[in-house]
This record gives sequence, structure tokens and C-alpha cells, in this order.
Amino acid sequence: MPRTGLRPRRLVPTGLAIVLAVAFVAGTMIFSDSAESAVVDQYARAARNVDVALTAAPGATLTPADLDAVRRTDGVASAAGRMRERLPLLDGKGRLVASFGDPGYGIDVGDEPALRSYDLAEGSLPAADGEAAIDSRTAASTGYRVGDTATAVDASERRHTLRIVGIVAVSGNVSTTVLTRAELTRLTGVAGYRDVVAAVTPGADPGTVRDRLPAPATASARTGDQLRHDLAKQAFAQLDGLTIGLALFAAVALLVAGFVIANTFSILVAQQQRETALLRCVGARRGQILRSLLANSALVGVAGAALGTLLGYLVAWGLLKGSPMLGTQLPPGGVVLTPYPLVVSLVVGPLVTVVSAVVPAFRATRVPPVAALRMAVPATGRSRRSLIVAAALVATAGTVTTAAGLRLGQPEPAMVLVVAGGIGNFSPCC
Amino acid sequence: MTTTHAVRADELVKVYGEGETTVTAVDKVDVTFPTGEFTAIVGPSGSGKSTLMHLLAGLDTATSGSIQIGGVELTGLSDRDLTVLRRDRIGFVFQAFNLLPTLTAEQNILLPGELAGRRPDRLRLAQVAADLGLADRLHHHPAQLSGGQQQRVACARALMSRPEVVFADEPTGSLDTRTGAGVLRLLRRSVREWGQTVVMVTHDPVAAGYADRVVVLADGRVVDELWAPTPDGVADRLQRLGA
Repeated sequence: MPRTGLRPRRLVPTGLAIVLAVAFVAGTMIFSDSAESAVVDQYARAARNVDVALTAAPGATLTPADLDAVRRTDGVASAAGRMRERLPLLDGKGRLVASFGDPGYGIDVGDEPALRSYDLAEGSLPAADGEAAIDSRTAASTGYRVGDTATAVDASERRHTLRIVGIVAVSGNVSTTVLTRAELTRLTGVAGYRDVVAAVTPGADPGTVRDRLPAPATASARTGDQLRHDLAKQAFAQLDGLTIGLALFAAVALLVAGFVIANTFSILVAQQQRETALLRCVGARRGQILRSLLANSALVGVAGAALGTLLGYLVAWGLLKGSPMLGTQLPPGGVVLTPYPLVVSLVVGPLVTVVSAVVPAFRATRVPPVAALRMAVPATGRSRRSLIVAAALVATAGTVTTAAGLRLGQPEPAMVLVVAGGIGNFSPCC
Repeated sequence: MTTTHAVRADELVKVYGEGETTVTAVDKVDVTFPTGEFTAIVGPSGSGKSTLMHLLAGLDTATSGSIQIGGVELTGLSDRDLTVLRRDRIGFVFQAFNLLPTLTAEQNILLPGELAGRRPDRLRLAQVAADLGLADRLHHHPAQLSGGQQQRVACARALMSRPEVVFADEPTGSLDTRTGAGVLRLLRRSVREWGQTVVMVTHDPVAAGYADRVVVLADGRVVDELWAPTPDGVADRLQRLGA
């Protein structure tokens, strides 16, 4: 089929639909990847250098004797006990520091620097009673700085003043206070460890060492990889609601884009009816008409998908920056680009376009050649200004609905709102 | 097989509609168009002359009867074969909207060949373009050409492949008298000098005067034939029909 000549302006609505749809598909996929990567990075800190670990069952603890037993295990190079107890912290105005209603935890400084679950960001680590280091997120939300004093509430609801000597980076969103082991025991009344973590000697297999660990009945033994995997799974559970919502949004975008493309392509076919009939007169077979239109749609699909992927990258970036507004705290991290979203976008975009164009294109092949000889010219559409205004209103409503849906605590109504918002956002193109 | 008739129709009938509302647009027409002749089909509006041309050119299907172009029977051909026949053996010049607006004059002229997947015959293109005075217009788009130039591009496309027959449907209908005369002289020259067969539908006695023969149609039937017609003779014949 020869180039019968594209009229780029006529393809703008089709292109726009596919750009937006692909932008959402690419955007949500890139965002999910980035969020996962950020979460994994962050949780990796908790399991860094850990080859094997004993974890106490909820309510139970591990004793210094357990720690010693781990240290003596064949293949263990070094081991450390980790305390982690609830320790509410109050801000400068005496209010509880909480994240999602969850008060903070206290952890001990730890004996092995390499096996610590946090990094010192500023100042120093607590070395004496009454000294504490707090996590950077809590520091940011309370305004506490090194040298300030903070108040912690002990197990018997008594208040204790702590001098902040350092700021640390930790995993998770929960407010964390680092204390000396003695101070933490004094405040919480608990002496045992939640975890005993260990590094193995060079060459030792973590799986083998794990099986050798003297695990008490109230604790389970895992390798570092298992630990990381479990931590990541726990972390993704937080993300699932958001990514599922976004994936739904992307699916709606694709669906609506399909309709929009079918619609705009039908209009295109109607506008080109005389051209098509003329082509049929001078010898274009039906198959050639069909192929030409589908080739055009593929071209628009590829161009739209390329632009959409680019836009999707920006969407992902925006979602990462804007995630606190959507009610989800994400660890800081850049946009992570894996080949998967790119491949999916660049395949799905043109595919949706071509599939949606099949019916209108097929209809075009039914235009009788004689239609070229008729003088009638199809009339142009309705008033455009009122359409644009209506489209803008519906799009705004869609965006508001989507934002409301994402902020809503309960997942089910939120999902419905997000989907409704998605349809609102995309239907103006129809 | 060679025939002396480029186009031949026997007992050709075209009926529109069904039941009580049927309209017989073409009623048992027998007509032949010899090779190398310029024929005009004239008749008052509603006489069925356009329908007859659509049938002869394979643009529409007859209710009954037979049509042969260059010895090939058209009735019973599949849509695909009919399309290929139009592409390879028939040239078209319409009253208006002859050209694809997105293609240049040259691309429009070469369009049927390109649809057939043929390599463009540059020599033939240069010859036709020179003869039709289009040599310096080949890279213009239709919108940049005058009405007369557009019709000449359409003629060039029709003549490019030396078809069995060129069908022209009111080719001067949208042109002023002088430009129209240029297009008619061009069609006549293609018959005289290149041995082309041309069948033209028109309601204009002056246009019909350029033909070798005039076939007069009324109420779907051939009612008369005039050889070496003059505009006055054709006008007179049409007037008597209208009365």
C-alpha cells in the first residue's frame, strides 16, 4: 500500500488517548518498581551483613545465654543481640510521636557495629544513661536536634528526660529511639533480645549454619536472605493498596483509551470516506485499505506509546514526590527504571491502538467506490467550545475523585472512587 | 484475444429498490464502444447516464445483463478482481475530487501503478506530463493547482497506464468554458493521437460536440445515436427529449 498521506491533525485525538493511557501504565509500573526498590533498600539495612538470625516468637525474648550459644556455633564469625521494645516518645509540646497511630520503639545501641540495623547520620551514639539517638524522620517531624532534650514514657507511664546526642537512619516509618542497653532495660523493664543476628565465617554456607543454630522452642532460625525476603514482603504489604489502585487506574485508562481510539478512528474514517472511495475507484483493494489504516494506527500507537512512556516516567516521579499527599510514606529514593515497564508500554500502546482501530478500519473497506462520485461533503461536528468546557469539568471532577479515593482510609470505597476518577479523567476524550 | 470493442454491454439492467418502490435506472441497454473512439453519453438528468457509466466501469453491479471490457466479462467478477480490473484496464476522470489531497500531482498520477506494486514508468510519466503541460507542476499538491490543472492531473493518471478505456464523468462540470475546452481537446487528442478509447458522460451539448459519437439516453434506454455531432445538433436532440 502506498503512502496515501497522513493528516497528522486528524490523528491528534487518537494519539492523545494513547499517550495518556500509556503514561499511566508506564507511570504506575515505574512507580511500583521505584517504591519497591526504595523499600527493599531500606529494609536491607535491617538485614545488612546478617547471614543467619534467630527471632523470638511474639511475646518471648532471647537471653544472653542464647546469644553466647550462637557465638559458639561452628561457622559463626560474630553475633549480636537486638533489643526492640515499645518506647513512646513525646515531642517538644508533650504530644506523642506516632506514625499511623503507632507509638515508637526503643532499640539498643548493639555490640557489633557491622550488625547494627541503623546508620549514624549525625552526632554520636548514646554511650551513657540518659543519652539517646533518634531517627531522622522523627527528628524532622518533631524538630528535635542534637543537644535537645526529649521525653520518653516508660513501662509504668513515668516520664524520663533523654539528651539527644545523635540522629540515625533506620528502616521503616516507626519512630525509633536508640539507647544504651542498660537504659533501655531500665525504661522498658525488658532485658531480653528480640533477635540474635550473626555473620558467618568466610566460606561458610548460611543455610548450613542456620541449621546448626541452637534455637530455643520460642524462636525461629532464618538465613539473612530469608530475613530480607520476609522484611521486604512485610514492606510490600504496605504498598499493595496503592499499587493495586494505580494498576486499576491504568487498566481503566487503557480500556477508555481503546474506546476513544475506536471513536476517533471512526470519525477519521468518516472524514476520509471520499478519499477511501477514490482509492477504491482507482484500484485499491479492500485489504490494501485495511492494511493502510492499520499501519497508520500502528504508527500513531508507536509514537503515542513512546511519548506516553516518557510522560509515564514523569508521572512516576510525581507519584514518588507526591506520595505523602496520597497518604503513603515512602522511603526516599530516586525513580528506578527497569526494562519491564518500557517493554510493556511499547508493546501494549501500539497493540491497544491497532486492536481498537480494527473495527473502524474494517468499516472503511465497506465504503463503495461510487461514494467518491457523490458531491455531498460530511458536515462538521457540534460546537467545540461547550465540549471543551464540559471535558475540562469532567476531567477536574475525575482528578478530585481520584485524589479523594487515594486519601481515603478504607480500601474498598477508595478503590471505587479511584476507578470512577479514572473514568472521569479519560472520558472527556471520547 | 483482441476485440474491436473496448467496451460492450448487452441487455444491461439496473433496478434500485424492492417491491413497489423499484426504479429501473438502466433498462435493457445494448451498447458498444469501439476501440479508439471518443463517445459521449448524453441525456437529461435522471436518464440513467451516470448509472450506466458506473455499471460499465465496474463501480456498481448490474441487476442483469452482461458487460465486457477488453473481452473480459465483468458480471460475476469478485470485488477483488473487479478492483484489479479498474486499476489495470480503466482510467477515471471525475467531475471533482479526482485527487488525493495529501499526495502530490506526481504521486496521484502514479497511484494506480503503486497500488499494483509496479515500478513507476518514469519515461511514460515524463511523456504524459509534458503532453499535458504538467511538467512543472508534478510536485505540487492539488490545493496548489487550479481546477483545470487538477483535471489535467486526473487525465494524466487515467492515461498513464494506456488503459483499455477511460471513463470521464462530467469532466468539465466544475470548470469554466475555456478551461473545460482545454480538457476536452486533451481527451480528443488522446483518442486521435494515441488510439485511446474514451467514454464521457455529460449533459453539456458543447462538451458532447468534441466526441466522435453521441449516445442519447432517456428513461434508462438508448434512444438515439449521433455520429460526428455538433453542439447544436446535440442540443436540438436533447431539447426534443425534454419536450
